[in-house]
Amino acid sequence: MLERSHFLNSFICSLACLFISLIWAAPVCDAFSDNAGAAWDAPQTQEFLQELEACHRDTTVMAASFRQQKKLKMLREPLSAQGYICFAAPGRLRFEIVQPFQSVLLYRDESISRFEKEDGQWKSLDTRTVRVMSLVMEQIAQWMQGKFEDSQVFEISVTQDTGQEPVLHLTPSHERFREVIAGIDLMIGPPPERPIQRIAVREPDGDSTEIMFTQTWRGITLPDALFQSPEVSPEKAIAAEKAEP
Amino acid sequence: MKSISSSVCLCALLCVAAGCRGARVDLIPLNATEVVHIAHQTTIPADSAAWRVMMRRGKRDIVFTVLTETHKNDGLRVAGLSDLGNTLFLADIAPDGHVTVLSNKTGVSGKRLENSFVRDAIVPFVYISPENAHAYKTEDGRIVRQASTASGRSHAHVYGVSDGMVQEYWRLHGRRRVYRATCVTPGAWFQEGYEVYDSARRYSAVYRPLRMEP
Repeated sequence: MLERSHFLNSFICSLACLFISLIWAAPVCDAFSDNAGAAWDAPQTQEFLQELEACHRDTTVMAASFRQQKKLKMLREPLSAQGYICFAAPGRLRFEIVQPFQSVLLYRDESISRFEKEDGQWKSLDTRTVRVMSLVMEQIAQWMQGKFEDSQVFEISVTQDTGQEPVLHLTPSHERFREVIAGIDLMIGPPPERPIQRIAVREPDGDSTEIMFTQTWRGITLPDALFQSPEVSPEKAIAAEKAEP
Repeated sequence: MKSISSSVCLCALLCVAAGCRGARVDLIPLNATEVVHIAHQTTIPADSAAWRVMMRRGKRDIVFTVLTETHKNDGLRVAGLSDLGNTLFLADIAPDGHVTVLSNKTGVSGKRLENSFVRDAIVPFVYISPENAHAYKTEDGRIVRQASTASGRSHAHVYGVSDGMVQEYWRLHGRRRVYRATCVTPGAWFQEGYEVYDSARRYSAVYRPLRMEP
């Protein structure tokens, strides 16, 4: 029913936010301001991107828990969700919402599968999103190496308020993408880790989605089954990993 | 051979057409006592609702979240969201049922969006006034309150025999039921959710209420 071309744009942009968050996610820090600060010039921006690349090029496995809040201009109540993002190079991904519903997206071996929990049972869905994943994975591969400068999808700028950490702004290059997402703001933490602490996705009509990372795990080993089956819980997999001597 | 193939094709077309037209429903007029019985049945809609939607058309699944809110002018606002937070659609529904699609990133036409995603989401909020409705009985004895809509078609609530609770919502083209929404637990639309089947557009959907943690 949803036409592929429109849904694809939306899907890719959404996954773009997701994967950016995956690369650098870190627990949220309340110190950041939402105000747009002074814009950096091109050399300073380039230097910053190089710093980010140096900080994150060795990340191969990570997991993060998050809280997501969607605010719509025309509705009184926001929609909140909680979930997990898990990644293991090369190209294994799990995106899971655990509250207020349960859904899992798995990417492995260039194929994607989606599951929804219904009446206590996981149900496999035929959403036909496989074709878009090669495009998404190509983008991820660049981001995993911290290659924002070469992005064909986003124009990048950086702003910084006095006394605050810098904010990375990603603006979709293509008009069709901008119809779905006006921009993505990444609040970057202090060095040496330079983690992303919060992501704000702005839509053209004023709606926004904010992703706040509540906990991050790096340098861990995630079981392969986590990327194969919805039955395996990220929470349990991480707990088991931490319990290992 | 050619005439046999043509006949087979014609039969197939007629079968498909009959399916799209929906099931025929025979409604029996009620007597005055029974009308009084259902006239006092009312539903009190919630101020807002959030649904997890699993829609199926052919072999394809479409999964998303829908938010619905009432507003000061007694209208409704409906928003569809993807799992990753994108707004799929926004619509405003006036008290007279007129739908204005404010934003549509689904790829389907505004008309199709209105007649599927949006109208499905507002089923529990539909009120059929006793003053403008006619009461009937179905063949299995359930009570039906049917009223004309602005489009010149009609819609109806179906009430249980024993408890008088609203079990189903129908849209009718003449005597054909082209749309049916069935409450999982009669009367508890907002608490237990509902299932939809649209024979004209050939899709089904399950609406499960989302329970937010404080």
